[in-house]
Amino acid sequence: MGEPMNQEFGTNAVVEARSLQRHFGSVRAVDGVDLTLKPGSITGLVGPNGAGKTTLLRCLLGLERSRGDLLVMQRDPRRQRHRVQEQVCFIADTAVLPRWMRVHQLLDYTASVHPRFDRSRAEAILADTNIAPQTQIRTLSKGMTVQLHLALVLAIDAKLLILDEPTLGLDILFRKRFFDQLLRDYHHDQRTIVISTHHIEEVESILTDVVFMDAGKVILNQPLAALAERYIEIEVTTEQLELARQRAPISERATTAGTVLMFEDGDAEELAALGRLRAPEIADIFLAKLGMGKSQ
Amino acid sequence: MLLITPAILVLAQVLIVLLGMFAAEQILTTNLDKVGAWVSSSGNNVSISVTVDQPIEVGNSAAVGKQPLPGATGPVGGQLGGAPDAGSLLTVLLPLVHLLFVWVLILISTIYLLGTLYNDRRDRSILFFKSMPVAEWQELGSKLLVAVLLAPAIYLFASCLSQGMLWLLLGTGDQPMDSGSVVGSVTVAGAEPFSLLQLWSQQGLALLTGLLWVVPFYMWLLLASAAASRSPVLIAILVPIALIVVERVVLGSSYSSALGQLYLPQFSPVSDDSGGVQPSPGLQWLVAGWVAAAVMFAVTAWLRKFRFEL
Repeated sequence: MGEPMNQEFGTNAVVEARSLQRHFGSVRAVDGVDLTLKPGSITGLVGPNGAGKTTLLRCLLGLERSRGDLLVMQRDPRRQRHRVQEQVCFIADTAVLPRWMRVHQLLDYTASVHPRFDRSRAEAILADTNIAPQTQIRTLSKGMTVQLHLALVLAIDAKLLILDEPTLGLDILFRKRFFDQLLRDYHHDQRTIVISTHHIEEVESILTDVVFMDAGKVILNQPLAALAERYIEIEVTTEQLELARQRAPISERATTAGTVLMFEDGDAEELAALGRLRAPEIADIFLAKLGMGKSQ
Repeated sequence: MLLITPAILVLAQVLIVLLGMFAAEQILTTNLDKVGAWVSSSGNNVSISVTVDQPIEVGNSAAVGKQPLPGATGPVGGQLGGAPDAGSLLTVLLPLVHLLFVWVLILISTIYLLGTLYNDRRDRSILFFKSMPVAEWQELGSKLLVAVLLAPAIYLFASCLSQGMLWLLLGTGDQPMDSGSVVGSVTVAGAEPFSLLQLWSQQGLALLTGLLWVVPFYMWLLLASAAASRSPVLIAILVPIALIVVERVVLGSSYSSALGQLYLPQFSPVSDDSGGVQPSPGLQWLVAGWVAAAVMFAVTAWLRKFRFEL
């Protein structure tokens, strides 16, 4: 690493990125992202299509060239992807397992190249599914392929797990089971997880941190607990609406009961006088932040 | 996993050789001289394989290979069988069988190398392989080793096996197997196992030499496989052709085509007026080819690292 670096850079963090950039021609897919992930955190990466979530995750994995400072598990993934990969696991897309292999061959292969893979654990997880070792991967349904991939990942003792839309195109029953299993069988205080998803409401309950992305930039990066303190919604009647609007809400939407306004860093006591207080959903905060970004 | 396809093909080939033997017998008996000439002329130009050591007594004997091999000496034919007919038949048939194996080996290796770095990008399983702690150069090296060492070892073994079976079938029968044909008159007289071993070792040596020369070509196939966004085959063929055409049009010379032929496994007989003698290109060209292969290796590894999206 030839670039001069801050003394504190990458000291303890699982992921440390400073002004990370990845441009495709004139498209700034990742445009100066600063990101720090602490051990044990579960971060949800949220953003609209084309926000640069996938590109950012790929940069972290060393699958993309990028500019800026980047350390993942104290190493630069752009130079030492295979070394970083000993400690980092990822599911970059659904159904990318080699279709020509059989399940037991996939386990053979992984066991032969990955020093932290526990084959018996993978077999135990698979025993709970109806995926037989002799099955050819091409014959598995999409849901079963994801199940197999997850079994593989759960059996690897990694420090960082990166999941890019891991449940895309799967039914809600399966999605629920996927995240339950992740939290119950995998996560502990030394393991860090990053999940990018469109279904923020489904992962909301397991997250510790949330990162919003739009147009290649991180527009919000907060612990989930801080989010509840910073953002307040009030439900107001039409009489109070004008008064509430003067307090610079970041979003406004109509509901059956009246109008709901969202405030950033607002005074809860003052706002409570105007209407009924409620905790906003992450998806709504995200939409509000997105709206702000666009109006500027 | 990687072995399954070649293994099946090898088995099928052994069967085909044994079955086809009886059909070939007719052709061989009717015009032994012609076949002999064909084997020696084509064998001469299949540079990967049989080149120098074609132990052909009959037909064209002016053949000198691309790479003269030490120890790859004269005809073995006389040692194989006592009866002139049986000896001639075996000396023609065994190299022919070996030639068949080498052709299929080159074909299979070419298909494998052109596909291997393209197919996993097409079905996106490269994303799985990249989630494993395996560096690009390790992946690339293992694929090259499959084509340069593993597959040839399997094919050489299968070829020797087939030849051995033929030798047993044709060379040791006391009784006429098929009256009226040459095969029927083959006898055991004078057949020594040692000469068969000698033939095999010559074939092995020639194969090894051929493989050393074919490494740049194989590396080019891997590069095409990693670079192609639509068709690796087209890249592998069109780029050299374009280079040759451009050179001919712009410079009026044909160095690139001459250079290309040096490293290409050749199938078609090259007609030459100089009595069939090809000059040995020399060790410096082998080294040059390996240097080029090393450069292509680095480029391919880079492509695999950052340019793998289709």
